[in-house]
Amino acid sequence: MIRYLIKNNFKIMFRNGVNLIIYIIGPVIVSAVLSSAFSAIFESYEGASEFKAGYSIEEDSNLYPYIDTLKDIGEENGVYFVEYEPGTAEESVRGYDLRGFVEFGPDSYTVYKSNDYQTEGAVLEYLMNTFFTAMISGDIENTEIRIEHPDYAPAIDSTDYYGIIYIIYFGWLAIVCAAGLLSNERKHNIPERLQVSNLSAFQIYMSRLVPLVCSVGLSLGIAAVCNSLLLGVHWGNIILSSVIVLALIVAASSFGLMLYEFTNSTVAAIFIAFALIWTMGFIGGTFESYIMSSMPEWLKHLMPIYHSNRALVELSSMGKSDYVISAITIPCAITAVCSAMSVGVAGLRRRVR
Amino acid sequence: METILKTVDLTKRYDNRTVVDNLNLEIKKGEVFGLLGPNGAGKSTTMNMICNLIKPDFGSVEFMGKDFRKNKRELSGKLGYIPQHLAIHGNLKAWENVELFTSLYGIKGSELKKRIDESLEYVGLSERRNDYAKTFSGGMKRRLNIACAIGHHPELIIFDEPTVGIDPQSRNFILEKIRESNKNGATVIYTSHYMEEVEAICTRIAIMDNGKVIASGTSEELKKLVSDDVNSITLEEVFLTLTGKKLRDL
Repeated sequence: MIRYLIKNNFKIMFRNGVNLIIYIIGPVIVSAVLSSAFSAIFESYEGASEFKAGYSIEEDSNLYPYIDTLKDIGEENGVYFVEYEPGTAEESVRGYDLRGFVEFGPDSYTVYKSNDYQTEGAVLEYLMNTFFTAMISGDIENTEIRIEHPDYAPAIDSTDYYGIIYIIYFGWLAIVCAAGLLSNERKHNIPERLQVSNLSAFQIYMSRLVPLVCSVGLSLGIAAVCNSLLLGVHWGNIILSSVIVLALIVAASSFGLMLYEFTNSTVAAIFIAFALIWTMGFIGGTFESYIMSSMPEWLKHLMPIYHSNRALVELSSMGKSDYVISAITIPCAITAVCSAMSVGVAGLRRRVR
Repeated sequence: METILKTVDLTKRYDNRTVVDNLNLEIKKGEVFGLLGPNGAGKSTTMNMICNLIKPDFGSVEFMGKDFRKNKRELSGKLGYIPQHLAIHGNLKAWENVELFTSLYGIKGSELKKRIDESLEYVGLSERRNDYAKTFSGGMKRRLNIACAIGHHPELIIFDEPTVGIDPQSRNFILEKIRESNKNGATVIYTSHYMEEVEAICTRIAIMDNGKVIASGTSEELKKLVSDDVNSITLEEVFLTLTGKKLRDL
């Protein structure tokens, strides 16, 4: 019954030139500008390959018996330890082009990192932390240490990062795409005409949600392809990434439509949505990369956009992510809650009239 | 004649103001029923209650012998509503607008295509079927508004001030089409502030004021309420005599 309504609502949204600019050209331009502007920051975080690190150890150090084991584990992970005289950490790093240095005291150690090689420094620190945690537990011989995908060292450049992040950000702003349709419906009392034909609140809701998701999804799909072709953005696992983007578009659309149902105003709904999503993006890595963000982890985790951002960025850089499930389930939960509230409020408003 | 629509003690209050007060209307099948009244008389609220857009505080609407509210699913397809506002999408072509609203009544496929052609032909917009509604003149938009409401072949059509703000040619065309619909078997409820229109097309007229019907009958019967010489008085004079000349500022 609402097939033709969905089809025509989709046409209204997709024919709007402003929508095409916002959802196709917008992400491409913003991605290009930001990836260019922040490329230097990301370059310093490029993944570490094999590297040489120095160490020094005092003769009375309690850690002496473990040095050979540490060197073996280091080699397995591409970190080659070379011994230097105690007290020469800084000059050795400079003089022998070392990526880092570990100074072993009687029962402690100090890691020296070079400002020029932050990722290698982080890898060295990670290796030492992991090694000593295993050593303290007393099972160092049977402990396997692998540095495959250290989560502090993103193997992603600014093009991939912003090329992905801004597809997500514009996806969360889905309600803007429905503005023309909703304004026209409101201006011309079209929902009343739909009600005369006995359309339920749920059917009217679906007649907006489905074309909105299709329209934003299609536009952002084109934008993502443009990003890949023009900027060289890599998406990693395309199927999983598509599912995540689709889930967030459905959630964003239902969230926007719920705001519209509550406020009964397109302008108010867009304003509130934009303010909330901007804040969410500010904390969750849309503007400042979440990798370098100083925001508390717990706060970032509260932002649905952070889960989408992190899942897609990690899929692109590492091919897998622990955030995939939350990046799908959180939008699904948002969709269920917002849809129920939208239909509930619309139904209630009808009964009250 | 068989009754197609009946309001029984229909009442609606907003805050402490009674907008429609125990309204009892009976519309016979095949007639063109005119509903007149000054601003704030309760016409639109009555229409909205008939169309199930507003819930009455008391009373009911019987449509084709059944309580309309309780039998919406079965009966809504037999009602056509042409709202005063242009309920069309400017960014859709004429045929797409008709498709959208006609399909809401379960019409699809080749039958839907046939109904779209038929509706556009009916309102004289066949040649402009592929043009966007936003490019249409006021009169054309009004005609498209009508086409969107008749594609499902309703038995009762409600015209809520369908000729507001259009040129005499378009107005004449719309009135002709209302007559034609009636001849083809549709019952019509017509509201307007243009008395000469109502007089020209309506077989029976009710005048509402303060939520109640204060007079009803044929044009001649209404005129007789005010003057014995029906030829010397217009419907507008009857209306002003019955409802008063005081401005109705809402």
